[in-house]
Amino acid sequence: MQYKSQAVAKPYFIAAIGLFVGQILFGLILGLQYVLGDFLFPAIPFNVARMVHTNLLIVWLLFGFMGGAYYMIPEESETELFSPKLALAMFWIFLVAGALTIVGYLAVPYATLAELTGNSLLETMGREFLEQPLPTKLGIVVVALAFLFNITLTVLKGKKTSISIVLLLGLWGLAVFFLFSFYNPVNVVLDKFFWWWTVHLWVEGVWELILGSFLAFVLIKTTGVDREVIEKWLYVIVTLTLITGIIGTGHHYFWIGTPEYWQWWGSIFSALEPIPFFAMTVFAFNMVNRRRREHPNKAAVLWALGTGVMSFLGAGVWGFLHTLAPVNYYTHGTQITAAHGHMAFYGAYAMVNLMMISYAMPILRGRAANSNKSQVLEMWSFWLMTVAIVFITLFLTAAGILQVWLQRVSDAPLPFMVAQDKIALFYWMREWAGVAFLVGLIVYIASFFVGGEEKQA
Amino acid sequence: MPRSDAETGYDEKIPGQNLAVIAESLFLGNLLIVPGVCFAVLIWLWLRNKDDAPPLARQHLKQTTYVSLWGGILIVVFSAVFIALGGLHWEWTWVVVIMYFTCIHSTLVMFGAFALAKALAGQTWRYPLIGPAIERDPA
Repeated sequence: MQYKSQAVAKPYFIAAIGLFVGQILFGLILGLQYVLGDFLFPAIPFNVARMVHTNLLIVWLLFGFMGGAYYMIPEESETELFSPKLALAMFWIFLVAGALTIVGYLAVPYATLAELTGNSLLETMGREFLEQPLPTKLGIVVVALAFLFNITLTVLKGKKTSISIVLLLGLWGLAVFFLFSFYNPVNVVLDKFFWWWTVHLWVEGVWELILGSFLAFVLIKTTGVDREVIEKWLYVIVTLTLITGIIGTGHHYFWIGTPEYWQWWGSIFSALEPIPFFAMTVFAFNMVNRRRREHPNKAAVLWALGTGVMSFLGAGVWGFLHTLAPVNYYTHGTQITAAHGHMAFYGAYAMVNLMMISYAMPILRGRAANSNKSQVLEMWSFWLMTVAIVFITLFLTAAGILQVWLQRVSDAPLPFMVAQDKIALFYWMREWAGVAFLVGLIVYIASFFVGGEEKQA
Repeated sequence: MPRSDAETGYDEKIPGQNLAVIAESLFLGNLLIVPGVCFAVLIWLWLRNKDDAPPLARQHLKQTTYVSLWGGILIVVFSAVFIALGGLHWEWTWVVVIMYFTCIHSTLVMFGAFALAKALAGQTWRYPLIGPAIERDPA
């Protein structure tokens, strides 16, 4: 690696992969609970398993983003990290806080956890994805501030590139919008309105900037295409993301008690949200087609191309599928949303983190790329996980369409649980696809331990 | 004399690159924005340039025209067959038609994106399965 301080990224990447495994295991437990309602009850109730599954996803992605930033920023800024020690200290604080939170979810009833952790002082718990106890939320703010301090000062003392500025914009946005998780008004409409400022403006706003900058960085390194060309694409992607994504928040405001005009604003702007993802796909393929060199790390290039395609399909196409208000009137909160969520998170954010890890880890371990044997295994894991998530998405989509019909469109609508029984076949198929995903993840981890002739750095 | 892409007003590194990009954009436009209209423009461009455009442009125009036709048939005919067989009042018709339409349409869009990236890089591309064979340049 070019800068010694880039090494702090390594523990972040390892923790990210460890938490990813946890997320998938809890996903499989949840999948079984859909069809065997009392599976692991009362030890792990459905609501707890779901909370652990989604919270682990968020935390491992954040670990990946931080690791990626710590790796990328010194190289972009052409200077050592401002404080590697601070980065390592924050790693341990974040990991311990995250682990304690998960243990808290599993060991204590949620209401007791709220009582024990001082939720009465400032009520922030009990909301989907933002279930973390107050001390954890405060810990996240401290870690995020220290991380941003470290990264920003590194950029300020070194070279400023478009890629690092876009990354900073994304990371600062991530921290700022998390602050809305502390705002929990009694009025439920206002609560949901601002809740989306964290949830939506993360995944369909500032996280896309992080995705774009990571993708641009890895494409510059692996294709040798001029920085100017890649930066121009990045400007276009950032512009499209912000134009569509910010007002696109309106697609969450259709049925929560906000004025009717949100049905127009939300429908129109969120219908445009696939455009930046489409641009990312064309961008990635165009850069690889115009490459000036053959980088030895083929696996990283595969992840880069994969993230373009899968984010377009998952976030773009499956998002568009149910984003227009007249369609969403029927599909809101059904398995169609779950189908979209699974493919979008995997395609956009899991894959971009795996791309960064795939590119950076061999270098952090002292080589330009892993051995051919290791890369072949990693590519197998790519296809196993990607094909598995495609099937998970398809099965959930089929389940969702059937659910909409039986529960909402039919002349004699069925109650929720009766409809759930009728779509159980798709839940079983989704579970088996989930097992295939876990196999892919195991293969991915195994690829780190395979020897062979490595390409020298 | 082979048509030059100077007509498009942009310099190109490889002859026919601009026409190739326009062809792929019209293919995507037909799928995503203005179905029918973009296809009509694409057909007109293909007929106008099929004999004298540079090889790269000819390849992309031919691919996009044929695949638009086949894609249209795949989308419309099979969806209509599923609806005719199952009827609109059976839930499984909706499951099959929506799944089929989404998958086939997004596959064509993805292929279009790969093809556009190829055109931007000045390279040829054959759409898998339904794209016509690439003509070899006699030169």
